[in-house]
Amino acid sequence: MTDLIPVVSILAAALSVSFGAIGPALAEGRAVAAAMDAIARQPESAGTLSRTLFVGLAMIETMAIYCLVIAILLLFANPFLK
Amino acid sequence: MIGSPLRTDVLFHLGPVPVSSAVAVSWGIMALLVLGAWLATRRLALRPSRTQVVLELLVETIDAQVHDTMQVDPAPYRALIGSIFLFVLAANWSGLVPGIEPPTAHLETDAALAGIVFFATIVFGLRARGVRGYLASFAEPGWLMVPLNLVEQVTRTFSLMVRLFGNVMSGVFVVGIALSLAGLIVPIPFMALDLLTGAIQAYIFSVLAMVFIGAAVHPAPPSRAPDAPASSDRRDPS
Amino acid sequence: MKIDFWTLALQAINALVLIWLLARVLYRPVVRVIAQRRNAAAKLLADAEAERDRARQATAAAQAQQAELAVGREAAMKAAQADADAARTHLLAAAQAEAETLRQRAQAEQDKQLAAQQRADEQRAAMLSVDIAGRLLERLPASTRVAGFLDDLVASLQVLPESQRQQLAQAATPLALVAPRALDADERQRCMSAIQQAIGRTAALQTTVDPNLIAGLELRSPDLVLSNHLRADLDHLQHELTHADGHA
Repeated sequence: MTDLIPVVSILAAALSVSFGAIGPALAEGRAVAAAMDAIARQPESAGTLSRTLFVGLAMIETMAIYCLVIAILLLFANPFLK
Repeated sequence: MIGSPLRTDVLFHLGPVPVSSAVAVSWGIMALLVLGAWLATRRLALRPSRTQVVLELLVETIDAQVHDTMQVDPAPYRALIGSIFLFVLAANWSGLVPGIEPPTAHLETDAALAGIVFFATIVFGLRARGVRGYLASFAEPGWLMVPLNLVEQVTRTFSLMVRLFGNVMSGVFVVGIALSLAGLIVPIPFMALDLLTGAIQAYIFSVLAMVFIGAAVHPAPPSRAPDAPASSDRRDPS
Repeated sequence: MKIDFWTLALQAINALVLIWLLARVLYRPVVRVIAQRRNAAAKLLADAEAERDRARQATAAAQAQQAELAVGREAAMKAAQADADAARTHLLAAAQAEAETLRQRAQAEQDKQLAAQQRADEQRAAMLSVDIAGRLLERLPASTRVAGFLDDLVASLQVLPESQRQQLAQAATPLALVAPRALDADERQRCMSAIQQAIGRTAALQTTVDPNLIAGLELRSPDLVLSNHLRADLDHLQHELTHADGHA
């Protein structure tokens, strides 16, 4: 029974990272596509657009990072695993 | 760094106080920043040298960012925002020095910075609007929003902390894994990505601090009231 | 998940200290220098602005002066134009008047010349006619050239007023009788008697010859000349002829 908790924790960590990566991946793809579109329309505002894009990508990536933090908590600081 | 990123390794004890590696590295960064600033600002002239031009550009950029984001005079917030930005940037990039872990890859440093931003928000809000005005700002769109706003104060601080920690820690983690797998050349692109991520995260951290403080200083219009703390913590300042 | 609170507190203190130090060491001096430069630039700009204002004022003053000058010049030019116009008009009028007088004078001169020429022509014609008349009369017999005129002389003497006749009679100097040719004794006698009869008393009579008379007699006293000869008639005629036209 005590062996089950590490297994479940590892599985949960893997699931959180994998599923947590799907949403931000799609969102980043959309953001980059929209930015490309905007730059193609208005090449003169490419500087502002790319700066905003990077910040936005970092914000979106944060969601995946949250999942990574959860995974790491499960792996290294699991409260159920004494 | 393959071990737990949540563990603090104590280097030595200063009396009863355990000094971790993050604190030591922070001291090094502080010494570097203050010494560099002191050396650079020792002789300032109306006709600027090259170093002075860089310094003035930095300060004026910080001022412009503060003004753009908060729509107020940047003078009271310059030191706080600028110092946080410089420290986070230096800390993020300190991971490139061999044998040094970035202090921001440890949860305690990020928690300290986020706590400073949290208290600064309260202090500046009280100073700008008075006790009654600041407390009334929690009921901004309506009385129903009071619990939500109170929770938001905590959660957005928490998300600020975890964002910085997760990004830097993951970068260090990835570089460590790449190093353990491939060895010599392979980690370099990851380190370059780390450089970029570190700069962007420093920028995002200070921008979010500005937005929080600005929201506390300004009476926010109802449309700008945050609904979900985690997804809306970067509000458009315009 | 456990947080090392010692590290948390230390890092918070570190961050606050860093903020304080950087505010003292970095931001304050740089901002001060920027403000100084901005003030200097503002002062420079203000100076430049003042300088520009001054320059603009100077330009405006110069323009005003120029405009004034232009106005003065225009006025002067207008006055000069008016003067020139007046002078030209005056000169033109004077020239016209002069030309008119000249023309009139030339006309008068021409008229006078014409008249003189005409007069000369007439005079010549009269003289020619008188000459012709004289020549013709010379063909008269010598006796008639004197005797025929004696009666007329006497008649004219009788027509004279009494006082003059008295004066003529009492003249100290002898009367002079002018004849176209030398009178013979008989003729002389007749003349003497006729004249004395006309006067009413005897008078000394002296005869003189003057062929110019052509025909007739002339009685001369210091006060009076009685002409009764063709020369006088012709002269009179000529005078009439030449002066009649002039008066016409």
